[in-house]
Amino acid sequence: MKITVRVYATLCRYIPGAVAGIPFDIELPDGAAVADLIGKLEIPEGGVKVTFVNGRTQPPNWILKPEDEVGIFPPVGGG
Amino acid sequence: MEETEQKERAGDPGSQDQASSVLLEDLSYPIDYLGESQLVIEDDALLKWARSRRLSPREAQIEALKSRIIPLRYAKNFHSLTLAEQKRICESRILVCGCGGLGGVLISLLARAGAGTLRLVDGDVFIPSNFNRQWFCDTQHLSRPKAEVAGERVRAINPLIEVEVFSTPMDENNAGALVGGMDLVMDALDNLPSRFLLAEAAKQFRIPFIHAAVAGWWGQVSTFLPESLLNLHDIYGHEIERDPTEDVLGVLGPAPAVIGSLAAFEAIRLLSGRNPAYADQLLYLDGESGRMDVIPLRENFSGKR
Repeated sequence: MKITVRVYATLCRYIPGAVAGIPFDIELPDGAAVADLIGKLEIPEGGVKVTFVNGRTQPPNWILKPEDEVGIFPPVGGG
Repeated sequence: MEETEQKERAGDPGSQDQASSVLLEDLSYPIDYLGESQLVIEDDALLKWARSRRLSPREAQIEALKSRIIPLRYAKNFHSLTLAEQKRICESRILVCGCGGLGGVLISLLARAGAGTLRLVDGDVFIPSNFNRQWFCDTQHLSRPKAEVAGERVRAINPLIEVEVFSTPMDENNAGALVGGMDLVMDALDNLPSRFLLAEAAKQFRIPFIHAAVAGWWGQVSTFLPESLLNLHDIYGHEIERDPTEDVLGVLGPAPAVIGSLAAFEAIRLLSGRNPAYADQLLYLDGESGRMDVIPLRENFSGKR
């Protein structure tokens, strides 16, 4: 199935050619979860804190559907 | 200085009687504003009137607004705000934890907006690496406590409001005392444990909480109202410390300027009685790409803790 992905901030460095906030498509097997997507993108697990699917945050075990739009970003903590 | 003047006046019954007979209306004057006549009063006249009535400047500005007289320094807040909304802002009490990058921006804007009482907390002193982004860090302020400098700047920006300065870090022992009695709690801190502590104290005292954070080109704002089922763990997950790689990112000056300003907008919305924009949502700014997204949050982590 095709999933549209946006990554933000420092996560772009893990994905060749990725530009923050600009969507790109990725193929995943049917029934794949958010965690599978993160694995496929080779983003280290510790670097991801928030994943949103179709505009709502979802946990790593959330099952994706074809054409879902997923955004992944690391929350920041400085002041 | 002002206290001395006040005591001198109070010790002179003649001048006291004379001064107290002066009406606020006599010290104000009309200006034409967008085709309407509006009474305004300048700082010096209002402060003089406050002394004559033995009112604090904070009380005096509220009295002026009750009499439909606008302190001239707030004239440009209208018609973005109504008179009633400006009065609510002038009556409000706000805790700002952190007087660094975010805090410097937030505190400046809230002081200029007329926020009645600003309680400022920061246990740090200014160091040279603060220059690139912290508005209160000037060359003459190095090694000085951030909260103390922030307090001085607030007094210089707006003598009509009250400022309370705490140059000690917030911790488990003082969090409740700092948060108690406030109308709004603002998180401009730089570490996760303190953010969680402040958020919990705000929740316990049922006070709205605005969270702001930055790193590198990036930043975020979120609001948690007392009745919200969500909390900061729905943003940070199970993390309890800042990601150490963030230190490498540093912070670019515009990040706290933009995020602090968005948080100040949110504060003005809440304090004036309007709806918040980011309640249970996360605004995420990516300054590198120029994009900004507002994402609804849901209970991912808080229920599992």
